[in-house]
Amino acid sequence: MYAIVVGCGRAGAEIAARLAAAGDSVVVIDRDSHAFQRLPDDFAGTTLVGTAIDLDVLEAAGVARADVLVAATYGDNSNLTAVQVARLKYDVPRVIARVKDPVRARVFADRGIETICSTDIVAGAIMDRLAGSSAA
Amino acid sequence: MFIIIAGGGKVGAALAHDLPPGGHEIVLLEKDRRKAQDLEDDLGASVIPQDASEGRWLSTAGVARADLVIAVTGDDEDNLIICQLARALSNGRARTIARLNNPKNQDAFRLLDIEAIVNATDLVMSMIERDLGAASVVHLMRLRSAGLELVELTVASESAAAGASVTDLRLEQLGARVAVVLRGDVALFTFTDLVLRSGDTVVAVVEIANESAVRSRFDAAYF
Repeated sequence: MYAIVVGCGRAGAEIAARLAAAGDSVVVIDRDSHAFQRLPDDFAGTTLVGTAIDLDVLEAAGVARADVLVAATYGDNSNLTAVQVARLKYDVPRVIARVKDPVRARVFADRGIETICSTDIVAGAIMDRLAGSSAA
Repeated sequence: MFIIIAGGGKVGAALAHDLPPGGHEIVLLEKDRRKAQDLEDDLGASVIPQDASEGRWLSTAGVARADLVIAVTGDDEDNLIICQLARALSNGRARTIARLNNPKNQDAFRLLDIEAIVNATDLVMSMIERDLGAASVVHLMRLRSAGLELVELTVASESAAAGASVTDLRLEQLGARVAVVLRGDVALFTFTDLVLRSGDTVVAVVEIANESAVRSRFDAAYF
């Protein structure tokens, strides 16, 4: 699988590292080259400095042949822009955006964009734990 | 009209200040608390000190009943998503205008089908070109979905337009329609037989594809 990961923060670096460890071809994009220090020393993928709204950067990352694009920067709007451009212009078969704002996640999910809402997931997990401990 | 302005920087503040007061209701969203407070004090407008791209604050601002949402933050991705979010949260009711800061991002704006894009760089460039005499057209606004743009054309001496009437120019054959002719400080809405003079300004809706053909009627025939 050829995967592009946009954003090399904690989440992006973790996703890129796991994909590369599983044998996938990975390109990680971040606007700050220091962010790549979060990748493991034995990271087998490649890195690219830039932002994903920039079509030149996406093309340098090989977006036309990507199977997957995951947008996991700290900015919801950057992520939603990146996945829409990847899908609309380059027909990337699978795109996933990390979105912190639950409203934005729902609105764009309704438009057919696959979103992962970290706020919903964390709140849900904590509520489950609390429900589990009160039941025990 | 009920207008939401997203972003209280120089552009957002100027818009809130300059929009004609008659009957408009304006809500401004600015995430920097200090800036938001200053704006409220200066404008007496209703200012919400929050991030406009966060769905709940756009809803708090009343996006469901908004007629127009203008996204003028300094961040292009924010402006794009604010416009898409506003369309969705108003069930398509709100018209949207996005400011494009970096001309490199224009392709992304088009892909994401933003209806009206205001490209400040283009605007400044065309003003410079006009002052240098290289061109007589200023792009006012692009109405992307219809392939149209609103332009301001200045009649150059030695041009086809100087000495001709608006009817003579047959602009409709080029997919263009004149909205108003400005002569000095006077706006002339009845201009069918008006003879254009050098220095007159014509505001017209033009098909983007035909802009250069329209422009050639207004430019001096130097070459």
